[in-house]
Order: sequence, then C-alpha cells, then structure tokens
Amino acid sequence: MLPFLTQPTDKPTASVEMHEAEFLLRYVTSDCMRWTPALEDCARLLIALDARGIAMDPAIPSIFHRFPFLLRGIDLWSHIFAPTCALQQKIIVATAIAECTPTSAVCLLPQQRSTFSLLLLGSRLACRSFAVGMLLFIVPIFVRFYGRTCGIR
Amino acid sequence: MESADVIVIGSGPAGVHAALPLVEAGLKVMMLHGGVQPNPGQPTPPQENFEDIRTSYPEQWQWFLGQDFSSIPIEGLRGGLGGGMASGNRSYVTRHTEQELPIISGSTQIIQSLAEGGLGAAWGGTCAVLSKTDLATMGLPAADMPRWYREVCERIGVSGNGEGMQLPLKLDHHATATLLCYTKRKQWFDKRSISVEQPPSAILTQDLGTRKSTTYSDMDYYADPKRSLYRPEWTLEELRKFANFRDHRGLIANSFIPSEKDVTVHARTMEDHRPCAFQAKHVVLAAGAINSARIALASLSISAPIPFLCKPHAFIACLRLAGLRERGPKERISTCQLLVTDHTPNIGGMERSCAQLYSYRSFLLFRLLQSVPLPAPEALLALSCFTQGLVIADIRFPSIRTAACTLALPDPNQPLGIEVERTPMERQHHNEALRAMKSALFHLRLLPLKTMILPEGSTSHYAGSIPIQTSPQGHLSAAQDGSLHQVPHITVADASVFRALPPLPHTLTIMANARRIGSLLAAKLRS
Repeated sequence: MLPFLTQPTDKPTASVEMHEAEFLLRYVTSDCMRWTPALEDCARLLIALDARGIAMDPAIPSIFHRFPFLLRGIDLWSHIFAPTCALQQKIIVATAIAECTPTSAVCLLPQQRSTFSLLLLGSRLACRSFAVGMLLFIVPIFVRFYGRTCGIR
Repeated sequence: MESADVIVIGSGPAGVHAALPLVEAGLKVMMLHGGVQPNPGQPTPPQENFEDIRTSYPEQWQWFLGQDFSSIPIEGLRGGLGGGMASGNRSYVTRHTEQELPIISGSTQIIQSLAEGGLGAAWGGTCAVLSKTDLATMGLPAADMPRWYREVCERIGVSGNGEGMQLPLKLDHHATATLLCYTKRKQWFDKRSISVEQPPSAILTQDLGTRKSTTYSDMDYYADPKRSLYRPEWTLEELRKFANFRDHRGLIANSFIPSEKDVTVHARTMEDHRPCAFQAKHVVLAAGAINSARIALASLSISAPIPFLCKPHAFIACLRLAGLRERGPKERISTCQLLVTDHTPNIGGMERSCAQLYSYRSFLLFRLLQSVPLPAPEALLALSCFTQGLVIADIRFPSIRTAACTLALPDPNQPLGIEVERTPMERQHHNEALRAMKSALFHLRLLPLKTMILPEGSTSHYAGSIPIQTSPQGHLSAAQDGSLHQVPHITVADASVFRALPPLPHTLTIMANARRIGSLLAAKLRS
C-alpha cells in the first residue's frame, strides 16, 4: 500500500469520522464560500449518513485530504459512471447539510447580480471545469484506482 | 358488527367530497381509512418567510430535510414524489404503503398513500376546469359538471378568474415576464393553439372560515400553519363535527361481500393485522384508482389483468436569461405559477400536452446536484448562479386505456401486479408533444436546458380501472352515477371511473365528480 493511503490510526474512530465529515462539508462548499463547519454540522452529517444507511467506510484516502482538488476527478467520474455509489451519496447528503445552514444562505440564496459579475462567475466556473476535465483526461488510471478506494461500485 | 347507511373507503380528495353530501343529507356515514398522521415530534417551522428562515435559523435542516433526513434524494432525481410536495415534514404521506399495499411494478414507480387526506395531503393545489370535450372523453356528464366545479370551488376556496373563485394569486417576477412575452407574441402562439395563463389554485387569497389567506412566505413545500392551501384533512375535520359521521383510522379495506340488502366490508388493522368487518346499505369506493381496483378485484375474484390509466410526465429545466440578474421578490409562492397548454387535438380529442411552470427557489439546490455534470463544488457554484433564473416546466401528457397498461391480482393474498408500457403510437405522440412544448417554451424566452423523462407512474396520477360505461363492459365498469355494474350497492367515487386522463391537472375534477356522485347517491338513498 502506498504511504499516503494510510489512515490516521492513532485517533479514535469517532474523531476520524468527524474529520472526514468536516472534510466532506468543506469540500462541497469550497467553491462558494470559505467555511469551517461547526462540530454540530459534522455530527449532523454523520447522523444523516447513518439515518440514510450510508456507511462512512470506505474512508476517503488521505491524499485527497492533502490535495482536495484531486477529489474533483473522482467525484466527476463517479457522478457520470456510478451516480448511486457511496461517494456520490455522501456528497449529496453533505451538500444538503451544508446548504441548510444560515452561513450558506448568504451565498446560495438569489442575489442581485450585474452582467459583469455573472461573466466573471461563468469564466471562473469554465476554468475550473476545464481543469477537472484535464485531470480526468490525463490520469484515468489514477481516477479509476482511487475510485475503487473511495467506494465506487 | 358496526353498521352504517354508507361506508366510504378512503379519506382522500374523492372520499371526503363524496362523504360530505351524504352526511349533509342526514345519512349515517362511516369512513374507513389509513389515517397516517404527520411524523410524531416533527417540529413546525416558524411563521416567517423562506429567506428569513434560511438566514436566521441553525435548526432549519429539520424543516427542510425532515428530522429523519428522508428528504435527501440519495436515489437520484428520479425519486418521483420523494421530493416536491412530499418533502420535509410531508414525507409521512407515503409512509407504510410498501408494507401495507404491496405491489410488483418493475420499473414503474407507483405512489400510494395511507395518509389522512390521501395523496391530497401532498397536493400542489393547481386546479383546472376541464373543457366539455375532455369531460366527455373521460365519460363524465359535461353539461352537469360546471355546477359541481362551482360548489367545490366555493367549499375549498380556489383563487383564480373562474366562477365562484377568490381573487387570483400574485405572480412572481418570472411568471410576470413570461406572461408579458406571451402577450407580445400571442399571434405565434395562437397559430399553434397554445395558451399561457395563470391557473386557478386551491390557495386562499381571502380568509375562508378558520383558514387564512396566504402570506406568500414561500414555505409551501414545508409548512402551512394558516391552512391557506386546501387539504382533504380540512374537510374531514368538518365531517367529524357531524353526529352522523364516524371515521375509523388505521384500517385497510380488503374486500366487500354484497348481499341483496346490504354489503359487508372486510378490513384489517394496520397495527396488528387483526381482521374486522363492517356492514352498510351501500359502500363508496374512494381509495384511489389502484386501491379501489384492488378491493374490487379481490372481492369479485377477478384474476385477469384489467386496463388502467397512468399519466406520463417529464420535466424540462429552463433558464430565463433575464432572470439571472434579478433577485426576485422575497414574498412569493412555490407552487405552480403558469399553465402552458397545447390545445392541438390529440389522442381522444384531448389537449396534446400541458406544462406547469414553477420558479425554483425554496426547493433548495442540493436536489439539482445530480443533474449538473460537474464535481459537487463547481455544481453548487453553478447552481447558486443559475437557479435564480431557473424555471421548471412540469409537462403532462394525455392518457387513454390500452392493453399495455394493466393491473392484476391473480391471488388476493399476493401483491398487486402493475404493468405500464406505452404503445409506439403513444410514444410518437409524446415525442411530438414534447418537441412542440420545447418550442413554445423557447418562444416564451425560457431556454430549455435539460429534459428529464420520469419513470412511468411517478406523477401519482392514476385512473380508469373501473371506467364509466353505458352498459357492463370488461371485468369492472361503472354507470355514470358511479354505481358498479357488476354488483349492487357499490359506488365508485374516485378517479377509477375516468375513461381517459387529459394532460391538465385533474384533482379539482376528482373532487367535483366525487361531490356529484355523493349527491346522487344521497338522493337515491333518501328516496
């Protein structure tokens, strides 16, 4: 096993799960806002996953914790080829939890926008999507390898 | 054995409106229904605006996702009624149906309800007064129906421009701009027999009894403490005030056994499946097209498949480019704003299709995540920009009875089998109708982005299992007064009696027809 796949084993399981929940919440909102989820939000995500019968295992490999941008490749790949896999289910639940907070309301609710700001947002989105597309295109083996480790069936 | 003059099975829109004239005529009426209640302990949101709740309350997840998080569509967008009006604290509407009303339906997504008020407890409130052609195709007395429509509208409180209606609802910015665009290009639309109008809605704009007019809080999918949107539960509450009415909750009717003078209804309790029986001079089936047929098939030991109707539908996500820059009013409603109808005569002479237009806001962004082919962070960013210009067109097509759409109960102890297949002719009609509707939306400056054809059955609009026929035909059929041809003392008051389903919303017609059938039965029993 590659060194960066090792999970932090010195922490109790609960705190590993909380860490993972925090990572997921930060990941899904990373483009919209800078947000440090509160402990309650992380705990709520774990409860929601449990309530919907989605296991936290397999955990997201630590390379993605270090370089979250790489998870976008796996996310997009599974979104297209395995939309009901565990990773996608975790992402949807995390997005729902993140959206139902007053912090997210500020940037997710409708706003008065100028044409310029819309163009700016559009180009930012296009650049990011292009980068993710390139990631998928250049390293399909990477995506497939980590796809399996992330729980894509 | 407990007895009554009339037993009504089901407490949905048909059940309560069939029971009301019977009770008012002084007959002793007993209602048997599932009566599932809202989730215990589900907190009610504060009486504030959607935006204020979103920006102020950390506990908002309970109202938007449900305490059990059942509102999160992990199965994908093809979740049918899992979203929409059955979201959050309305998720109880479909509870227990899988165990209590089992079906085998393959890829068809059948939605049933054992809730108090039936599927009406999750109704969006969009009404339509159907044309004479539609009513005649459905087998209903077209000349009589305006009276029943008017009576129901006055009773439940419908806002709109029709007779007996309250003032129309305020439209939001998308609907206002779309309607303006339609007025400017009316000639183009007239040539293609397409109309755009604000539909009547079962939402109060003026107080009615203890119910209050809408505050435009945009919380329609989650809470309605002032009861401005009509629910059959409100009529059930009225019924309970009568001494000659009694209802039994937590019961599933299995079958009926008619004799010369009366009928015995066999049921079971939902709690412990204990059998019980009730007796009446007459039974009114109002358990919905699928369950009324299930009871009739089990009672008459019919094992052969019978045709039924299931309205096909699709969603088109449209973008109103000008709307991308507008924040829109804070005060508005989440229910249907406009109705686009393609009047080109189609199968059975009915309209070709109809689209209900909704502005997207209070339904939250996470529900659309799976429809954007981007990683979650980019998808959320894209949605936060584009949803304020997003208009959802919920498109319905007409449905006629064919041999490819069937219900079958080979053994009363086994699940009901449901098959829904579309004939090549129907598919061709739907494709043509969809193309025409997309073109109409484009001319309304609503740019069609994505079309989602939903699984058969997910509209929850079923009918035609016991159709109105002038003489007995097939295994099950009813006379125009709803009485079952095959056995005496049984009347069908729900959508089972419709011979066809037009694309327009038909819940108001279900209620008007149930009131008509209930009134006719009351007069017959009184005489």
